[in-house]
Amino acid sequence: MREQPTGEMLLQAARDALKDKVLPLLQGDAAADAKREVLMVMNALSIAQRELQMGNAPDEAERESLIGLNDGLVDGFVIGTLSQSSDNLSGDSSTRSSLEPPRDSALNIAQANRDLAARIRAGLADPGTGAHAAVFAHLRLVGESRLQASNPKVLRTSKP
Amino acid sequence: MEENIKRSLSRFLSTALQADSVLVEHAALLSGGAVQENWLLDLQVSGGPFDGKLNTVLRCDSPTAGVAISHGRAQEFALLQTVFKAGVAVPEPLCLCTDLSVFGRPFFVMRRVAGTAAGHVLVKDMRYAPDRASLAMQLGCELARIHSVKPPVDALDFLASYDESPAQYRIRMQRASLDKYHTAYPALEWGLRWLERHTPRRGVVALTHGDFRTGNYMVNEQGLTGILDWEFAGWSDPMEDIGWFCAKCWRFGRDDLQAGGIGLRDDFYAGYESESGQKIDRDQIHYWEVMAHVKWAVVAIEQAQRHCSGEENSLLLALTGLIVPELEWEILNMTENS
Repeated sequence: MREQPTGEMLLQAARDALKDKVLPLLQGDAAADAKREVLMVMNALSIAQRELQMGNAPDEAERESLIGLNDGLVDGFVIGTLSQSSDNLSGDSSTRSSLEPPRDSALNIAQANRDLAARIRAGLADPGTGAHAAVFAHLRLVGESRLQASNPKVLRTSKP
Repeated sequence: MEENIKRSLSRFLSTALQADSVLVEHAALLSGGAVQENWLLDLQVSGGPFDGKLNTVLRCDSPTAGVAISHGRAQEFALLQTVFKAGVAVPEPLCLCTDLSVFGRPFFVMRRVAGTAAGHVLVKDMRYAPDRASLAMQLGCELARIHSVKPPVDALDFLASYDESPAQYRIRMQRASLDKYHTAYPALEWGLRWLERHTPRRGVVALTHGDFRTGNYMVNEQGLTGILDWEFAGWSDPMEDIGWFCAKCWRFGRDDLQAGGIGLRDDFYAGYESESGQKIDRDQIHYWEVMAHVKWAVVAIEQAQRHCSGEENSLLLALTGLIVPELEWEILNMTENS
């Protein structure tokens, strides 16, 4: 177990120092570039801090959701096993029916996303397909979790 | 800028500007884009058509090669000449140099226009172009002049031509870009598939700017002074530029001003329609705004990749990648019910 201060606390302190001690010094046109740079650094620190706070939860939620797509749809909609790399981006539905549904523990998120992307591209999640609503809900869930880290403000000002 | 480079530039410019001599009085690197470098050059020209003080900008590639789909300097110079002749408000193109012995990289020189291009400043600071309704109209008008250039144009033969619909062509390009990366982007694929399902047929094809938005034009206290950044120009559906300009991702936080964060759509459209004599098909704008979000997301991924691959260490490029989730979110919002 790490002692305090944690990395998260350090990032907060670093951000506060920039905000309270450095930013006020950067006024006027001559300091505009430096000010922009400091604001970017502060933004980067905030994102890293939020990612630390969230830990592995987003990856686990994404994995669960992908497994849900596999379980809920015919023949393992997403696939996502490493052995399926040859299927990458082909989007060929005829090969899917011959595949064994993946075991949950074997699901590789990166591969599953490649397979999911290929299936969306091939029209297998179009309106009118059984996958449409489930895939959209999955994209919302993953998107929301990524925004929680990158820019949570968007979630407060924009629907769903 | 080093003295020997200034001397070398002076020699080149004397010939190019048909002058007896050219003195580089002042040179400074302007804070440039991620793809190009812009140098401010104050010249003292003796003799020839530009005799006297001449304030210019020298434009060259950034030291590390940029986004693959952007044009080289020679092409950008040809584009600038074409639209300058078409009456578009652009900095007057002065000369092009492809001889690497002069500056180490190809470059061109254009007359400097006054003001600022910074989008985040412009949307807040009303000292610039205080009459925003007329700015929106004028931008619509300028865009219509750009679109008055129709293929074929000999000087622009480097622009890709194709027979499919511009939308389908664009979709194919975005997919090819995404396929370069090991990481998949299912939400962008969702947007691209939506675009494919709703593809408009091929209609009028015109010269499009490709990055016509707040941040890429210059304004001063009086108003618009020039349209900049032509490196993404091409033959396309004119609606593509209109959607790009109005898309939510280019409003710099001013969502109430849907024309680029600076004005009302109606004013922008009115300027366009009065100059072109063509009615903008309102039903198509949503489609091209979805396209705008997908296109910007793909460019953002490419820019972040330049940082992640170690090619160019840049916090700006790295953070650009972090805007992809909000673009994806907006794409989902825009495509949810169709």
